[in-house]
Amino acid sequence: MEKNHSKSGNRAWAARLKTGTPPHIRRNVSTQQIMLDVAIALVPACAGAVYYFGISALLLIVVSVLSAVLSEYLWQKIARQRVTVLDFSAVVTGILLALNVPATAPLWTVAVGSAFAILVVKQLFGGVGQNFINPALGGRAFLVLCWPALVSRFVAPGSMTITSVQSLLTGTVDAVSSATPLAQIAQGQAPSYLNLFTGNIAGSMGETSAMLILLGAFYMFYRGVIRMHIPLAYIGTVAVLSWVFGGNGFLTGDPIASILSGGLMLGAFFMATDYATTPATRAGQYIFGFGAGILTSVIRLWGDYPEGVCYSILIMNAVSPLIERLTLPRVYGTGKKAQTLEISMGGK
Amino acid sequence: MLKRTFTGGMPHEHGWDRKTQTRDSKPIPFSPKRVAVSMFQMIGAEDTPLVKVGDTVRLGQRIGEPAGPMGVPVHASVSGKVVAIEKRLMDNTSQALCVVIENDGQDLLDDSIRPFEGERTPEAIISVMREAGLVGMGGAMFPTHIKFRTGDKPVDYLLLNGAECEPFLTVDDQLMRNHPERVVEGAAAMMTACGAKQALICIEDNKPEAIRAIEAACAKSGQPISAMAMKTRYPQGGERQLIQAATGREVPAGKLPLDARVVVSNVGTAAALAEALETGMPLLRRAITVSGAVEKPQNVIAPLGTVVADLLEFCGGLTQAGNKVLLGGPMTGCALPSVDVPSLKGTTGITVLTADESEESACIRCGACVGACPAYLMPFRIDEAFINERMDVCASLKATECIHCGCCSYVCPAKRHLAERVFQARLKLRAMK
Repeated sequence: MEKNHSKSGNRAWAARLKTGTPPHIRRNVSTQQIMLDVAIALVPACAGAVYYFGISALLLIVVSVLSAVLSEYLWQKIARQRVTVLDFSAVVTGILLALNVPATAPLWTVAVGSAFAILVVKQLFGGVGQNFINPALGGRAFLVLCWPALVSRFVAPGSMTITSVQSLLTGTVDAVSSATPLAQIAQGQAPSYLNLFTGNIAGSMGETSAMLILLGAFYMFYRGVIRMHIPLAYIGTVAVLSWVFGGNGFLTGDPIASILSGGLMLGAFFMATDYATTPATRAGQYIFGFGAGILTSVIRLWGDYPEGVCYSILIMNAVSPLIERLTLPRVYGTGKKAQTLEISMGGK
Repeated sequence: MLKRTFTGGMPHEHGWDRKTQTRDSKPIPFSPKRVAVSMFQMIGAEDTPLVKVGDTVRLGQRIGEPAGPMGVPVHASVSGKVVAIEKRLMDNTSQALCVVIENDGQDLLDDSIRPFEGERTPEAIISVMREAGLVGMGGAMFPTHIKFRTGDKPVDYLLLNGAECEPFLTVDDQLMRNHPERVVEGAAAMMTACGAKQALICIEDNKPEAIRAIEAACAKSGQPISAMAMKTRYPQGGERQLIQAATGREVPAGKLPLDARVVVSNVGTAAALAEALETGMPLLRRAITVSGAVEKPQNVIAPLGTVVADLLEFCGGLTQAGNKVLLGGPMTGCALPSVDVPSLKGTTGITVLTADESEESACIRCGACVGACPAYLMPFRIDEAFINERMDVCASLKATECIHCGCCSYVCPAKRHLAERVFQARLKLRAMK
């Protein structure tokens, strides 16, 4: 009886076979690619920040990113975990944190804010995908809590003149503090739509130019990195509520000015779309956007803070796991649809 | 008119179906020097060999007797001499007894092969299904006679699965283009067997020639059989997705298509039935798509038991890039540790790939897997629960409904082995019941 009549010894390729579980092909996508796409989508807003607020904007962004990456690297080294800084998620957090502060913030504040965002909000809870709130917004909320004055001195574009490195480090700049559009709207004098759209207004570094943010948002949508459900639900809700309640009397509000002002655009497209802190279900995403919209409007209209985006998103982040649990999809073959079928089919 | 489809599934990038290599490759017959016909049955025990070493066998001769009423017989796929009866590796884990026959190249037909001439009653056709050794040729290899023994249960639709949604595979496409009348005849016989009121031959729209050919054959047949074009999307050929898209019905969890008054069968199985009725020839050869990183990708008609190594050699061997050989397609196929594995009744293709060795990284909760799952599961959450050994969470997330299509792993940017773990959760839960 022949035992080994296979002839596989003649075939060199038979020896180099690899195994593994199906599927054996993968889509050409990676975490790194996604994060890189977000970073690219932020380039217009960063460029705008430098254009409007000068070299200090660039320095703030660079310091913020370096602090985020270094914090993550050191943590992972010390904790003997796999170093994942090359997935660019820390880079994105660093950029977003910087864009959330005004250009007059001292350099050390973004360094501290980024470190907090990465170490406390992200790594302490399990690293990428495990953060319980948006890291950049968490960092910003921390800064506002600890040094409110230093991170709220908004200036108008073109008014930044840094005359010495020292002033950069201490943050004592000669620019004149200027009212943000939301503050102006509250006084009844809204800036022009054009200025609101292009960003020729006072505000934190990344929030001013709706135009540049939208550019980045469309890029991310085209690349499949974000879906428009949360941003549109969020912005739509704010638009409607500001129209209904935002003016002097019912239905006299200015929805366009409202959605172009403050941090809504930046928040809706770049922070309310963070994967880890928003529901993974379609229905849950609509609820998230809707809820954030209500909270933002309530804070803006009836709270003492001029802007409510940061806290709205943070609160919805906290509720997000619950929302997801309540909106679990109906599994194929279960639920009402299957039951009706069983009844009509004679019940088996 | 809006084409039928289901929700979820694989996103389609350019060239995703990888069928261009063999799309127009008409299957050519291959006669290996030796075959190892497996006694393996999907359900129940192996067949018992009816021959011994040294026996001469003829083409179509019964060489394996089923252990019970659920099993089907196995027939000699070549004529020649039995040189061994031994255990062989079947895939990456299991072994089965094989009757190894030295092919004399003559294809001498056994005397028992005779066309079916009786009245085509349901019982008679089901009997032919069993005697011809028919099993599901789409890959699952479920005994056809068992599936069609529907008893008193009403059947509204017979669906013939011509979707062939797996990338690379083109044998069903070729069958429908070259022998559409055989498929339709098989459908007619199957309708009689299960008492179906009508038959729909479901074909994905990336096979326009097949759709036209089947439509023409249906028109000629004068029976309530028609072609139905479906939107091309993996896994349209999954039984539950096919039923959902073609009829709008969902098979209730844990139940069979029959509970939705539907019977589903592969087009190849239907054609095999038609041939068994017309010529008496049992299932002993089939077309296989050999493609991917091989020198000469093509469709081959090979006798059952043709060893993968021989097929690969017939197709010029692997290219430099090829280092992973799959039985089946890339989404659900099994990676072989050895190429000395024989082909089975359900072997649809041999796909050679360059192994993707991306490392798994942390889940970023992007939800791509949720959008891709055709069973509407949340794979990333089942994955997490399974890793943390929370089978209760896996159960509440309905991991038992996973169809093992592989879409979740395919779309995952973190390259997580989601499909593997969700399916393992399913297996574990079913075993725990």
